[in-house]
Order: sequence, then C-alpha cells, then structure tokens
Amino acid sequence: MTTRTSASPTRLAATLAPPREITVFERRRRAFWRRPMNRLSLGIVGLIVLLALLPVNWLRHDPTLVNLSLYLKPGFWAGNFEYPLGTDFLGRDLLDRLIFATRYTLTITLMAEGLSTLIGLVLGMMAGYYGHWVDTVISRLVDLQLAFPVILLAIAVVGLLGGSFLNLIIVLAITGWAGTTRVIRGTTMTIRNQDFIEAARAVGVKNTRILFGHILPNVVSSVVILSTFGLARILLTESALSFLGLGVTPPQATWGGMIGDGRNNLYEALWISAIPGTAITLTVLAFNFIGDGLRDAFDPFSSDQ
Amino acid sequence: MSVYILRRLALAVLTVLGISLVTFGILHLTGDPARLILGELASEQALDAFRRENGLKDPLAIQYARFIGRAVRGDFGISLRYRVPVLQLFLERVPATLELGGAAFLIAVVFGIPIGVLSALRQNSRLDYLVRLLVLLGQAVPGFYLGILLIMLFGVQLHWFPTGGRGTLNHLVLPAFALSLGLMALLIRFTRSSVLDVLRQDYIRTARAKGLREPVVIAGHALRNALIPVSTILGLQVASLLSGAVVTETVFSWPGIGRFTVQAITARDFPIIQTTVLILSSIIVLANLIVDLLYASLDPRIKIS
Repeated sequence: MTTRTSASPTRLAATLAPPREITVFERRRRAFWRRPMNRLSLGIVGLIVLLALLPVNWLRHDPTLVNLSLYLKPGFWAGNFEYPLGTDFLGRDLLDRLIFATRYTLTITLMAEGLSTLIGLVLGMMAGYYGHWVDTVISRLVDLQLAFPVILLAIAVVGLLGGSFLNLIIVLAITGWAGTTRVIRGTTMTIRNQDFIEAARAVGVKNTRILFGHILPNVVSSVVILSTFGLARILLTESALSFLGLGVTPPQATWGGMIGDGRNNLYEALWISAIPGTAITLTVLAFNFIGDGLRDAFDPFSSDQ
Repeated sequence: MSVYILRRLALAVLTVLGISLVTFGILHLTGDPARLILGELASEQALDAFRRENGLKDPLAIQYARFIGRAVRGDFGISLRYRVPVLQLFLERVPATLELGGAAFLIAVVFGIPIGVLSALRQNSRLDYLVRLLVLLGQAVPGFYLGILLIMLFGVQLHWFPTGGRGTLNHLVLPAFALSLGLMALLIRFTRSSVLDVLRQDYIRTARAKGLREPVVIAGHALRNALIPVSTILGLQVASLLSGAVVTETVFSWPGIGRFTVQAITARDFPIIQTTVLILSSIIVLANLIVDLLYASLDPRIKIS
C-alpha cells in the first residue's frame, strides 16, 4: 500500500518538502497513532482504567449487596434502566459488579505482569550479559518453566495454598517470566557484542552500570511490547483460574469469577456470564492490538517508515 | 546425533526432577502438610499420629527421596477422598482426556494448516482479512466462555449436540471444537507467516524461473519447507492443550483428568493434585523432547553437535 502513488497535490507537496526533524519518539508515536484500531484499543483500555479508578461509593448500588427480590432481572434490553445490565442470582446489579470487578481484574493483571516483567528483564539481561554458568543456570530454569503447564502450576499452587489476592498475583507472575527472559537474553547478547559496550568496558565502567545504564535503555522497547502481550495472556489465565473457583475470595470479584457465577443460571440468564465474557474478550483484543501496533511502530523496517 | 539425544534426555530427566521438587515443595515447604490434609480443626494428637504414620518427621531430603522412590514405582499414594490408589483413579480417566485432546488436536490441524496456507497464498484478499480477524478473535475469547456460548447456541437453542457428558461422537463435537479453537488460531497465524516467509525465498524464485507450474512450486517447494517450523510449535502446544482441557472438561462435564483435578482441589485431595501435576508435566516434557528430535531429523540444515 506504500507504493500506490497519489495525485493529490497536497500530498505531493508534503513529499517534496524537506523532511522536518522529528524525534524517534515522535515518529513512533505517529506510526502508532495512524492506525484506527490502535486508537480504538487505547480508548478501550483507557476506559477500563477509568472504571477501575471509580470510587465504589460513586456506584449507584452496592455491588456486594444481596437482594433476592431482584433475582435474575434482565437489563436494558427488557426496558430495565435502573439495572441496565440486569442482576445476578443474588440480585446484585451487574453493571456495578462489572465495574467493581474491573479494579480487581486490572490490579491483579497489572501487578502480576509487572512482577513477571521485572523478573524476566533482570534474569534475561544477566543471562545475556554474563554468559557462562549464569546463562546456563537461567536458561535451564527457563526450560523448566516452559515445560510446566501454566494452568496446572497455578492450580497446584492455589489449590494447595488457597486462593488469595497475593497468591494469585505471584502464581500468575511465575507463569509469565520465562518468555520475557528468553527474548531479553537474546537481545542483550546482540547488544553486548557492540562497540559501545566494549568501549564502556575499556574505560572501566562497572558491570551493573553497563547493565542498567547502557543495555537497559536498548531493551526497553522489547520489554514494552512483550509486556503488552503479557497483559492479555495473564488476563486470560486469571479469568480461567477465577472461573474454576481458584481466584480471589468473595465478596471480591474478577470478570472470570463473574462468568463462573453465571454458570448455574445460563438457561434463564445468559447475560450474567456473557457480559463479563465480552469484557474479557474486548480487553484482550485491545491489549493484543496495542502490542501489534507498538511492535510495528518500534520496528525500523516497518513498511510505513 | 547420539550425544545430542543423550544430552536432551538428560535435560528432560532433570526437568522432570525439577517439577517433582516443585510439586513436593509446594506441599512440604510452605506449610504443615499434616494440618493441610487433616484440616484446621484436627487435634494435636491426631496431627502427631499422622506425622509419625506418614514419615513427616524425617528430614525433608529423606521425605523427598521417598516420594521420588515411590513415584518411580507408580505409587502416588492413596486418595484422601476415594481411599483408593491415586494412580488407579488417574488411569481410569486418561482415555477420556486423550479422546478430547486428540480430537481437538486433529480439528486444529485439519482446519488450521489449510486455512493458514490459503490465507498466505491470497495475501491481502478479502478472505485473508476475514481469516486474520477470526484469528484475533479466537485468541482473545477465553476457552471456557466460548464453551458456554457453544453450549447455549448448539446445545440449548438448536438441540444439535448434547450439552455435556461423554458417550457418543455427538458428545465430543462441542468440547473438542471449544478446546481446538485456541490452537487452531495459533496454527493459522503461524502457518500463514511461515508460508509468506518461504514464498519470498530465492529457491522459490528459482523454481518459478525454471518454469515449474505454480501448484508444483507451492506443494513441492514452498509447503514442505514452510511446515517444518509449524510442526515444532505443534509439540509445544501439547502443554496449552492439556491446560485448556482442565477448563474445557469442567465446562462440558467431561469425565477426564482435568475435571478430576479441579474436583480434587475443591475436596482438598492433595495426593491427587500432586500426582496429576507431576504426570501431566512429565508428558509435556516428553512431547517437547520428541518434537526436538523430530525437528532435527525433519530439517537437514539443523546441525546437531
């Protein structure tokens, strides 16, 4: 699509004009912003973050309040605007519950991904930079982790230790670090062999300073892209665990747990599961689109440059 | 070649040992197994008797050696709930999971690879865009949510297939499809990019230049090379297929190992959880090993030292 020539005079003028100096960041930002799907995805994620930040007492109903007289009431599609997304089997407002669950879902996902990225980044840089036995040990650990079925590991840990907010974050973080380590290790190895690292070492810069001052800035873009996809993956794993009843303890709730809540009433009230299910799907799609968009924007060989 | 096989075998054994250490450690290092198994309300005397009976007073290293020694002989302990050997319960449920996993694998390969090839050969066509959209969706929808939607549409609304349980071929259709979708999406994406990659190679240009007809170029030269990387991810996906089976079996009441494990967690039946995690992880390690060796023999360019 880049080779198509346009007769539009303004565009012709733009191509003929001397290129204005723009920063690398600005070029990447523009490359990312050009795609409508990227803008839409960013909007969806922004909206979800806003919902998560909404104070609970701003909600119209108490998301944990049980009111059995409101058992399985359909929402706006049946003209019910007091409870626009309907109510669940305990008569709880699903819109407010969805918003309430957003903060747990998002907090767990973000913290687990943050932790997993941190572990993956540090181990990956160490393996790639130091090589030798450090690399061997870390790489074997990665192999070990990748051979472990994620859900089973999580089930084993949560099943044996019990589900709690913290356990869930740790387990999810453990499931994600290995992939990051592998990629960062490879990137670090290429950077390590470049002249500027050699020069830094020659003038006596300490290893830690080289790692965090010289190598880290060069792997940041990979980390950002990897962790965006990681968010999507962890959100999916978290929802599967919560669906199986291994998530946070009630009255705390996450989207996956809400789908599980609706399982016994699928016939009368499919919306209880369908609403959080749609929320998960949309959010994962948004994360994946942003990840793709970032990858294209960061790629110097991308077709749009 | 034989050195390579021996090294990979040694690594696989090491990985399985590592996994056994994790499953052993989760129960023994993070808490008091006697209290975990007997419950919070058990008396001090009962706990003490239980510890003496099960050798929980010995040093951890000895306990671990005993755990491994028994596991090698196929003795994984007695289920707390069923009061029969865990291995027997496990083996009774293996055929159901194999049936489901095998069917899902078959569906994913039979549809995924041809769709991926077609999508690559018609790059940027309407078909290609549709396929890419479906792939994105397929990777974003949680498997269990898709399962619920399939049950509601094809089971409850249309009455085409039963909503759960195992028996006839009809029972297999929905759960197998739900389980296969994630793998299928991955296969389509991977096949597509692999074929696109190969089509840009010089030897394809050579094949065309020497006047070979397009079907011969595609089938004889392009596909053979494009499918080598695809075959490797198939092996790696055994892990995610097994993980997915845990959730899918629960949604469709499929009497396999996955549902068995989830039920064991609810019942806090620790020997079962330990056993299923250990055996399934070992299967995954074995699958990865086989793929590595197959890969080496499929592609003569891979040098084995």
